[in-house]
Amino acid sequence: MDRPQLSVVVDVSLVLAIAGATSSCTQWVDTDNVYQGGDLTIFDNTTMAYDTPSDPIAADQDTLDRFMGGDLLYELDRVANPAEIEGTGGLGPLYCGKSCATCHAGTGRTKSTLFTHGGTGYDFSSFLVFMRSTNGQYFPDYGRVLHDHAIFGVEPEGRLTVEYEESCDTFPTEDAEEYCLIRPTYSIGDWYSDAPPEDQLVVSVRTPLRHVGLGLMLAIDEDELRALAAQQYPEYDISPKLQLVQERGQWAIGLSGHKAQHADLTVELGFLSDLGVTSHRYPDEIAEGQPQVSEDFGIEVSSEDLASVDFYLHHTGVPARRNVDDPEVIRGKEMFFEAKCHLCHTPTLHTAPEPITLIDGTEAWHLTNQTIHPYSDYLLHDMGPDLGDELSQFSATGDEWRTAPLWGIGLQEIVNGHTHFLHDARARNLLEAIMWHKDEEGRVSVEIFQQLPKEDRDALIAFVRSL
Amino acid sequence: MRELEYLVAVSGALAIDAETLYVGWSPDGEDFAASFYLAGQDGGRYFSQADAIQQLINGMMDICDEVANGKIADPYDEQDVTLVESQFSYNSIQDFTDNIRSVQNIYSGSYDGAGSPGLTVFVAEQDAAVDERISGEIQAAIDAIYAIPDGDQAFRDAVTDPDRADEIEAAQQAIRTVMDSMGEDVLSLVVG
Repeated sequence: MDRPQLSVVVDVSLVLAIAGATSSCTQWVDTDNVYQGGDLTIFDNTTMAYDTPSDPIAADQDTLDRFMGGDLLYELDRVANPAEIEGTGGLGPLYCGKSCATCHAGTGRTKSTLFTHGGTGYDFSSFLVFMRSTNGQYFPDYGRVLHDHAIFGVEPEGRLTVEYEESCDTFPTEDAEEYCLIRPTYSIGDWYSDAPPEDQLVVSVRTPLRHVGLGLMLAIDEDELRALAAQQYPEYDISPKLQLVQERGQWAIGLSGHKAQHADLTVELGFLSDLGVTSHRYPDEIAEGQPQVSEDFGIEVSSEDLASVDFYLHHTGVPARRNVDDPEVIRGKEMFFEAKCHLCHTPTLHTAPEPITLIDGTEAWHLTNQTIHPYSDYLLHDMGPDLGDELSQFSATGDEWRTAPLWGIGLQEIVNGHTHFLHDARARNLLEAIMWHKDEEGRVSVEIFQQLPKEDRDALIAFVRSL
Repeated sequence: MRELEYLVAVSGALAIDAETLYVGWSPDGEDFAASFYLAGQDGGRYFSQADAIQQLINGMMDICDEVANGKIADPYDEQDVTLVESQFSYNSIQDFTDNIRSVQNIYSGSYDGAGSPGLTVFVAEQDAAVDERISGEIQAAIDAIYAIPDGDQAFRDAVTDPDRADEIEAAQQAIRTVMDSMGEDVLSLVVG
């Protein structure tokens, strides 16, 4: 599709005002930019918003074929071996979903059974439950995550249940609007083997990431990330931290995951750990070593298929911004900066001139030299113990989380039919998500937000919905 | 034993799907219909009416793609009847035509003879010739699918019958024509 001609309103007065206020911070300039993903921006505000190839990918038959091939494999429902159709088997024996799209419907965030079934449901839960002992080790007979589904003849490792406690408060402004937050308490039961001692069990429930702009994220200029991490804001208690992770034996900047605990898109790990599908990189079944080991079917997904999924995930288009000239959205943008949200939800970043390489060695030239608007610094921030999970990952402590990128967030309701946000989806809408930022590095922003009159709070949310 | 567990699991999944569907459409539940037609207004899921219409067009293109390039192409290209959908109920031809009828219903705005203005009205206002052509292409696609079997022949038998290859390929082409018209003509009228 040809790119629509857009007349973009540039709010010069706002830019100047902010430039005066925070002269050390320049990355917010050009926030009106509709092309959030640079050349990889797409114009589709439907359920296809996260799942559409951008013009540069669609223009070349080879790249389009790779994209569509990866998309098919991403959505392919796998079955247990032996599969009637070659290339569709390998599911289990333990798994969390039967395809990538189980948890990432429309390449987004499937509505979790936390809310529909109070935890693990008959169908797929759409959450990952990380678990380990307080000493940092995995429990005997269990692994990195809880697998709440299993093929015939094998027991799921356990099932998660959640209970929510709701507490309500009102804004201290004249409107006295009420808002409520729900606080989850998780427990695991129906263990297939010996239950881990409760006082040693550390659990972190994570909802799926929206798979928006992942390739551009990995292609960000590392010097720009380091500069962002060096920029501290003691006046607002904001102290970003770079995540460093070990990947394939090398230390690298972590960008992917709720705690930025990965330096790649974890396609191979996801196939093994989430679907139970073995590959050349991970040839052993996820249940290997467990009492309920099943027959070994060897390598269950080819490296070529994994590379296709990796290519697809790197190149999904980023939805263009919407309603940028709506006066409420323009006002909301002002409030976004007023409340200092932009200090962590960085509006503008740049990808490096040199290409990153995909898992099969492909150089991703389409991702180079792009000005992008992810509204994230992809750095770690201490959000306080109320949001914390006591589960550290590399340099991220239990209370630290990666700033969630906001590009495409306003389309989640259309793509996935719900507005649950934050790492365990406890926020039922954007207002609750903002209010959960109430401690540590988010505290000042929430204090400012709370003091805004209702129309400005609504405007700020309208702005976020436009991303 | 395995069959029994399968039945139990399928029943559970079916119950959940039915409940999800009911809640999704119920006016007392998520009321998808209202969230759709209120596009661009309070309570609407879509940012604009154009976005909601684009959703319909995407859906029509999707199902055309699925029928022409998946449901028909997979077993035909591979000459493998195990890839035929609905093969055990011998219902494939009806399934394919019903899929394209859903396109016809959305485009015309009518269902079972009753209805309200559909996309056809909007397109005709912009370009009557295009509207007439697309309406004809949709009907031609339905007719072409019906022409695949030889009499009462099932699709799973037609798919490996060399005498039916021309009809199968003609049906695929007719469906792809609808898909292309939706993408090139209708979508451009809606989103500009």
